Order: sequence, then structure tokens, then C-alpha cells
Amino acid sequence: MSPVIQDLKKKLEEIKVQAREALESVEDVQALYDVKVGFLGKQGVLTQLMKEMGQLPVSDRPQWGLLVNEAKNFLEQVYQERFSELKSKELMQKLQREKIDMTLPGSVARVGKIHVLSQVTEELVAILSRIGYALRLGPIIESDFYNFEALNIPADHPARDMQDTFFLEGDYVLRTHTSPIQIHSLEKEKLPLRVVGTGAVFRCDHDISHLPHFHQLEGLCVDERISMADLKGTIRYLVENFFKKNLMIRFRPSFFPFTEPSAEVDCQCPLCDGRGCQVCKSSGWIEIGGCGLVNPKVFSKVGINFQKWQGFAFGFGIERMAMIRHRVDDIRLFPENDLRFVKQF
Amino acid sequence: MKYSLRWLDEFVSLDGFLQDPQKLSQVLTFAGFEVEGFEDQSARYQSTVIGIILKKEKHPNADRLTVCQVTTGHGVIHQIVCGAQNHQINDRVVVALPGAVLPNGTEIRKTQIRNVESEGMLCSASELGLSEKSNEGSEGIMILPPDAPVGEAFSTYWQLNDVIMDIKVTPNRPDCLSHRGLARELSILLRRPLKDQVPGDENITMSLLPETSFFKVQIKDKQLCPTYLGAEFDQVCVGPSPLWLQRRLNSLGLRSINNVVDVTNYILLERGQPLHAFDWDRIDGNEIHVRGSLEGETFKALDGVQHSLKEGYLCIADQKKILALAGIIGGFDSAVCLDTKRIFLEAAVFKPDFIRRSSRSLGISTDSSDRFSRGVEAQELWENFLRAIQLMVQVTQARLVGINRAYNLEERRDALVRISTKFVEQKLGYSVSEEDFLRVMKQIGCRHEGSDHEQLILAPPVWRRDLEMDVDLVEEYGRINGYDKIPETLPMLTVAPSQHDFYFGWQSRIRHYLTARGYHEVVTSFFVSSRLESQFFSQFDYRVLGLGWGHSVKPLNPLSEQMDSLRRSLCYSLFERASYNIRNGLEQGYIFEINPVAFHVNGAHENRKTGYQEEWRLALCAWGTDTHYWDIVTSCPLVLKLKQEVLCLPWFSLSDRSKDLSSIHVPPFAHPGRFGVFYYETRPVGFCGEIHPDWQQEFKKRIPIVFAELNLSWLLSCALNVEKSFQPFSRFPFLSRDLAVVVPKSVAFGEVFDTIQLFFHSLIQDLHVFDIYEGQEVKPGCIQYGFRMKLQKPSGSLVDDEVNRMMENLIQELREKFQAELPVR
Repeated sequence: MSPVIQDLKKKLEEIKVQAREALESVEDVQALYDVKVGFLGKQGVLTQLMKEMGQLPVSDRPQWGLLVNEAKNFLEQVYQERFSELKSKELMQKLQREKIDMTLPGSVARVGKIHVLSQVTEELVAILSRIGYALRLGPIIESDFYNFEALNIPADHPARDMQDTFFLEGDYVLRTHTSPIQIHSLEKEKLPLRVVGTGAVFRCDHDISHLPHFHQLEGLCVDERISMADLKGTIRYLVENFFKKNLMIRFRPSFFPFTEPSAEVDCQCPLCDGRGCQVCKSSGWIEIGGCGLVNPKVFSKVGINFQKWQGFAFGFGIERMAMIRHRVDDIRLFPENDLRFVKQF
Repeated sequence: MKYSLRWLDEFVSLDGFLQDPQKLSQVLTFAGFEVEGFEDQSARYQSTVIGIILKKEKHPNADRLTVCQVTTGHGVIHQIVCGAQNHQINDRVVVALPGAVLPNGTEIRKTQIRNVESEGMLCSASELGLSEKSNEGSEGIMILPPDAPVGEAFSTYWQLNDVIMDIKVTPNRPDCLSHRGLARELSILLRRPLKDQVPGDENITMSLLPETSFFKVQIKDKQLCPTYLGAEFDQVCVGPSPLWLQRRLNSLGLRSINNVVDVTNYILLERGQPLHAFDWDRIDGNEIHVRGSLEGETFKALDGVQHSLKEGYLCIADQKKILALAGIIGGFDSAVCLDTKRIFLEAAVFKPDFIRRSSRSLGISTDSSDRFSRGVEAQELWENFLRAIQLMVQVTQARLVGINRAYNLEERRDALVRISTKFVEQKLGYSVSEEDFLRVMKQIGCRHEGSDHEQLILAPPVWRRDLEMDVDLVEEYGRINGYDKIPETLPMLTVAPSQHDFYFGWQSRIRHYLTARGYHEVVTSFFVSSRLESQFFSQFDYRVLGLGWGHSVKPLNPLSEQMDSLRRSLCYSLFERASYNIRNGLEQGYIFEINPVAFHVNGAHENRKTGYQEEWRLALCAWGTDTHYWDIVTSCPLVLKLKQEVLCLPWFSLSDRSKDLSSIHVPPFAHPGRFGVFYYETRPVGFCGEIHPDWQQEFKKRIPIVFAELNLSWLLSCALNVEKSFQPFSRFPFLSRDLAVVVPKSVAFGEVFDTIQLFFHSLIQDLHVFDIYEGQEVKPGCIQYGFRMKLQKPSGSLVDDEVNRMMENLIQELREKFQAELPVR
């Protein structure tokens, strides 16, 4: 090895040490680049050494070149390492700076609530529509015919006393139940028929447990063969799906002019699963509505052949269903619409 | 109706149930008789026992009081101060010990009376609730016979171990509105024989009845009064009833009046037959007419109230005057009193619906009218009449001297019912054997008259007028068997496709959308006070805003002045609910309601002849300013936020301005400067606005309350844009431009906006205002708007120069139209 090369080797070792120190001592990418330029740039030490090669004897040149290039590559490599190190450090710092306290609240997303009575209505309708019932509405101002007469409640019949009625001028009333909706459907629609009627109803009664304006929902099914057993099964289906529990139901004989036979429906108290609690007064059962097979007299009133068609009907109070399901203990909370109440459901 | 179990027990053995009324209540409930409650009367006399007076001394500090030492057995001695005068040593008396509560509510406690200790009370009959308090001074305490067992509970001794049950009898079962009637039902339910012979009943036989009568009864309308029986008595001793009779009436909540009246009430409770007793000597002449009242005829009722009658009420009259309103109330002038010596006892049947109608129109409701309204069975009248005569004789020692039979007991039209067990099976959903079906039918009193092909022919019992059709017998069979036998099945149905009601679907869709937008749904009362509502609307006619309007719908029988009519708008209800919530400390809220309103429109021009109209409305209401929140910088007024909410409803393309900018009618409840109308094309369909400050005076701090109301019926039927077809959009590059202009404040923002929109026409893809400024930099009386627009050609690229030229032309147009200027830099 010629002394020239020996010399170069020594020099290059020094440069490498020098350069490594320089590269590692800087803390930002720009300075790092400046350092790199100092060694590898046009005026850089290594570039200078390369230029010196021309003045060397030919025999030394290849080795000279090799060594300088090797040093260059080495530095380039150190630079790259250091560069990515600084780059990621810089990124870390940037990310650090951009940090957000994620426990701060975001923009207000106001969310409204559907009134609990609407929720209950929509759910009952959805459950019934799965077995083919279509929803019907009707006017709240009804003639005597639709509210009473067609439902087999003749004028001056004691059955009229079962409902405290608001009377209007003429032969009109505020509907006392949703049953007139059945009559409209029976008059207008083709048989067989499965409808569910719902809406506001009115009774001239106002105390701690009665509102003059409340809501009902009722179902009507007309087909060629309909039995009490079918009615019981349908109500069981409805009750189980609504309370989302396996609850038994039972029928108690009762009287409604528009159904024969008639029954009141109790279901096992969904709050205690029938074990007995305050709400069901320890009986394990809770009254939820009335039902029965459509009275042939009702079919006659609307000109339907009761020899051919049979039907059942059932009705519930929406407020009552909501009270049972959500343990609302005062019916007056519904019309009050205190937002502290509305927001809870 | 209230029933005494002891009394029922006289007709059908309640052995095993008297001690366990809960068990009886179950039986009744599952047979269709809802038991609304029961009271064990023995509980009324807790801590009330029989005692004997051992010592009686004068009270040291009071002349009229005595201090007694009374034992109630087992060597226990109580010192009791007593105010009565009629007691002696060794008398057996009724002692109410500390802890007892007397029927009048008095609680007995250990106490000091004028410095002497008293450990109870010696009771009088009226204090025990056994008789009316006599008016003649002190009645004295009750002295019992010497064989009364000391220490025994008074209730046991006095046989007050009765239970009173309150039972709801449905309108189809008037036959059960009496003790004997319900007993008949119980005999079926419990399968125990009906004890049909009442003690003493056998005394009356047809042969002993007088053949003649003093009075002649004439019935004008046999439809209204099919049957009328009368019994004439003399030698009547009117006076207090025997204790057993008084006690029975008392226990069922009736006051004892005198023995004659008490007998009529007793028969009503026992048999369900209303009776009326007239003072024979106060009837003029010898004719009794059952006739309609004449216009203007006067009548003084038992209670002393004078009535001036209209024509056509059914009344009982003599030759001169009205004696009673048939089936409703007796007359003052012919009422039985202490001097009465002879009576005429009426037992009749009147047409139920006629009595009900008369009773309602007269506003008189009595036990008698209630009973007649529900139907009294003519077929049982004779039997009940005999029972009444028997009891009257027994209780008043009267002599029966005459009988009137102005009755035409129509031959019972045998309402035969044909039914097959197949039909019963099909209706109840379980198998039914003919044998068992007939067994149950016989049990309820039906006669099997034979068979016809597959059908059984049955004759229901006379007292069951409700059994008319085959389905009635199905119910009876099911009921007696127990509804628990009915299985649960789902019906085999024919597929019958149908749609939900149109409005319900939309109500639901809008409801879900608005709640997602942050509005709470409310469901408010349909009733309002017409006075407050008309104050709110003054003379304003909603129709100018595109909302239906008319007279209030007012029930003829409102519950109160606060709820005397149906609402004609939702916004009033929402305003009221907003105020309610503000009063409760909720300073900010967003609510909406979807419901129909109702009003009455006169005249035949409306589609419904009746003039009643219902219209679906959607109303929104917001109040308060947004809670101070770290990211809230906008100062957009609440009323504009609400307006935008409505304009953005995705199903209707509404506008807040119509081409016809004629003057807007502002309702009196709205702030005149903060009110706008919604249009669909050029038709107004609703409004939004802020409440007039006058309506907010109750709140110290002014909280903005804004609301909007839309005619949903109209929008859903005429303005729905659901049928959407694809519109190709431009895929060419777009250019954005900002434009700031200063315009006089007299120019509406909307006009400037519309002008820009119209200027670029189809080129404009987006135009919005990003800055509104008025202040030092802007000329007084002017306002500066910053618009940002995005322009794009349907085909081809826009060139900068082209846009720059257009901008200049736009500025020129704004200048000419609105004296608009560019802001000074």
C-alpha cells in the first residue's frame, strides 16, 4: 500500500469520526443537511478528496476512488439514519403539539325524544303490522252513529253510561273510544280485513287517574273463521312482544255492546313477572284492556253478512300500557309535557 | 251496587265464603262481576265490647257527668266518665275501649275529663251508627238485655259480622241488581240451591188477596208503562222501622226514614223492584192516571224542589194533580208522613230508555230512576209485588184492602235461540259436547225445547233478556266454564295486503326526523280555554296564513272553563307548554307536536255538511338562547334558526318568501318585526315567529320563545315531493368567488340573494352568505353582506375572464337595483 493511500485512509477515518460527530450533534433536519453538504456537497471535504484523485499516480487512483466512495457511502448512510431519526422525532413533536384533550366535549349534538305515548303507539303498531294489521286513523269528532249506534249502543241504553261522553251541537260527540275507526273500515274496506286503529279519545272525566283526553289503540280482525282462542293467541303475541317477556294472559268475562262474547284482559304483571308487587296490588295480574268477538249486530249495522264473516276486536289504553311498561305512577305526567319527563324515554 | 253477604246468604248458602270474602270475590270476578271492593263490617267495631257497670259515682267536678267502673270480663276494670243519665249499676252496656273508632269517625283514647281519667266510652245507639240521632235531647246510652255476654265483641253480639261487597254489574245483567238476583247467579256459579222461600213468604196466597179496589188505574200509553200494580192498605202505623230493617238499610248506605219508605227501599235492594207509596188520603178522587205531563204543569218533588214540566214526561196523577214522575221521584204533597193512615203502594214497570231520557233531561237521578233505566223485569213483577205486600203488612201492621191490576202481562214471547254445539266449538276454540253444553244451559235456567237438525232449540229464562242470539249462549257457556279453558291459537288468516294510514306514516317519519334534529315531541291536551285562546288570537283569522280556521268546537258539557273547547291551533298549546317548562326552570328547549286540530265552519259550502273540520298540523317551538358553550360563536337569532329548520324539512320545498310580496298579516300574538310566512309556490302554508313581548310579562328575564305552525294536511296532500328523478350534474371544474356588497338596510336580504341567484341562473351551484356586518366600517343605515358562490357550467369549463366580466355586470345590477356599493378597503 502506497503511503498516499495510507495517508488517505487515516484522513478518511478522521473525517468519518468528525462527520459522525457533526451529524449526530445537530438536532434539526436543516442543520443536518448543512452538515451533510459540508462533507458531501460540491465544496465538501470528500468531494475535494475525489477531485484530488486526478493528480495521483494512475496505480493509486482506483484504490483512492474506492476508499473515498466508501467513505461517502458511509456518510450518506449515517446521514440517512440520522435524518429519519430526526424526522420521526420532529413528527412526534408535531403530534405532541397537536394533542387535544379528548375529554373536552364536542359540539352540542341536541337529541330530541319521541313522546313516550308515540313510542308505545308506534311499537304496538309495528308488532301488529308484522302479523298483517294495517293502521287506520279516524276523525275525533264523530256522529252518534259511528260512536254508538253502529257499535250496538242504542240511544238511551244503559251501556251509554259506561262512557262519559262530551256532546257537541247536532248529533255529534267527541269520540269516546277508537272503535268508530272499526266501523269506518268495515264500511269502506274489502273483507277479510285486519286493521289497528289509534288516536285521541275523550271522556268527560277528570281526576287523579282519568284524563278527559287520552289515547287508545285497538285491533280488528275479520275473516271467515275467527274464535276466542285466536283472540287470546293474538293478544298473547302482542303482550309478549310489547313487554319483551314471556307473560301469560287471562280473560275475565265482561260486557261490551259491540262484542259477544266479551272479555277483559289481564296480563301477568311485567314488573314482578307475576310474583306480586305494589303495582299489581300483590295479585300478580294487571288489567290491560278489553276484547271480544265482533257482535253480529255490529256486522248487521254496516251491512256485512254475519253468517259468513266473523271477527274479533281488542283495545288498550296507550297511557296505561306506557305506565305499566315504564312504571309511570301518575297519568297526568303525559299531558303535562315537562321536558324532564319527556327526555327520560 | 253494594251487597250484603249475610243477606245474600239468606237466598243461597255462602257457607265457606262469609269468612273468606276474597274467595267469593274471585268467583264473581271470573264470572264477569267485577268486585270493586269489600268492607268487613265487624272491623267497624274493633275494641268495642259488652261490659257491665260495677260502680257509678257523681263526677267530682261536673254535675251532669258520672264516673263509672266498668268491667269487660277477666277481672279487667275500666274507669269511664259518662254524660248520660239512663244507666244504673249492673246495666250491660256497649263499651268502646281506647283504640276503637266509632262509625262517625270518633277515635276513642284514654283521656282526662275534668281532671278525672276516662278509659273509654259508653255508647249510644246513634254513636254506634245504628239509628238516626234523635232530636229530643239526650238519647242515653244503649242498655243491653241482662243476658248480653260480658266481654263479647259488640259486632258478634249485634250480628254485625257482615261483609259489604261493592260489585260492578254490567249493563247486560240488570237481573243481578238485587240481592235475590245476584243470589240466583251465585247459586249457578257455586252450584248451590237457591232458597226461594223467604221466611213469611208463604203467608200471602192468591186466595187471600182482595178482589176489589178503591182506585181505578188508567194507563195512557201501554208502551211506556206496560204493567202497573197497586196495593191499598189501611190501618197503617207509620213509625220507625224495626232495628233489623234499619240495620240492613244502614249497612248498605241507606238512611232509615220510616217503616213504609224503608219497606219500599228494602224491596228495591232485595228484589230490584222500585216501589212507591202514596198517602191515600192525599190523593184526590179515585182515579190514578199514568199519563204524559202537559206543557207548563208544575210538580213539587219529594225533596221540595218545584219543577215546571215540559210536555210528555210520564207521570202518575190523580184527577187534579201530578202525584209522581213515573219511575223517577215521588211528589211532596202525596208523600207518606207520620200522620199517614192509609197508603197506596205502586209497583210498576216503565220503559227503560224513556225513564233514562226523562231522568237525564230533568236532571233528576234517583235509585228508582237508575233501576228503571236498566230494565225491570215485568215477568217477575207479580211475585215481587206479593213479597212487598207481605213485608209491608209485617212491618207496618197495615191491612191490605184492595189490589189494582192494571196490567197486561204480555204472554211471554218465547225468544227461542237455535244453536249447534259446532258453532260453540268454533267460537270458543275448544271441543264442546252436546251433553255438557245442555247441562250448562240448564244450569243458567234455559229450557231445552227440542232439536232441529243439528241445532238445539233453547228458551232462555225470563230474567235473562240479554240472551237473544246464539253468540249470547256461547258467551254464557264460556263464562260458566271459565274463560281459562279457552286455548291460545293464532288465527288462520287469508293474506289481505293493506297499507298503513297515510297520515300515520308521515306523522311517524316527521317525528323521527325532528327528534334527530334535536326537538322533543310533546303530546298536549286537545282542550283549551276558549277565553284564553280567543285572547291569544284576538280577531285574527288563521286562513291568511294558509291554516284552517273557524269557530271553536265546544262540548255542550265541558268539564271546566279551562277545558271548554277543542283547540284550533297547536302553537298556542306549545306556547303554553314552553311557558310551563320555563316556569319550572328549563330556560332552553326545543319541542314539536304533530296532531289534528278541529274547528267548525258554518255553511254548506264545506265538503262535510256538518261543518266540523279537522286538520293535521305540525308545530315547532323553541325558547331560550343556547347554553353558553365553548364552541358556540354564532349569533343567529332563534327565530331564524327555527325558520331554517322548517325550510330544510326534506319532503317539502318550502320558501320563506313568495313572489307576491304584498303585506304580511301578523297575528296579534307575534312580534310584528319577527314574523314570517312559509309558502309552497305562492300559497301560504304556515308561519314562524317570535312571541309578542306582551305575552311574556310573567317572566322577569325576557326569554325568546319562537314557534312555527304548518298546515300538514295540505302539505301532505299537495306539496309532497317524493317522486324524484335523477338530475345529471356537471363534472366540469368550478370556480369560487367571494363578493362583499354594502346595501341600505331597507333592502331585504332575500331580495339581494335572489337577485344574485337569478343573475347566474343555472351556473350557480352554491350561494351562501358567510358574513353579515354592520358597524364602523360600514356607512350608517347600511349593512354589508359577504357572499360566497361556486360557479360551474353544465358542459365545458368556465374561464376566469368570463367570470370576472359576469361579476362586474352583477355588481352593476346590484348597484342599480339596490344602490349597493362595494365596501371601502
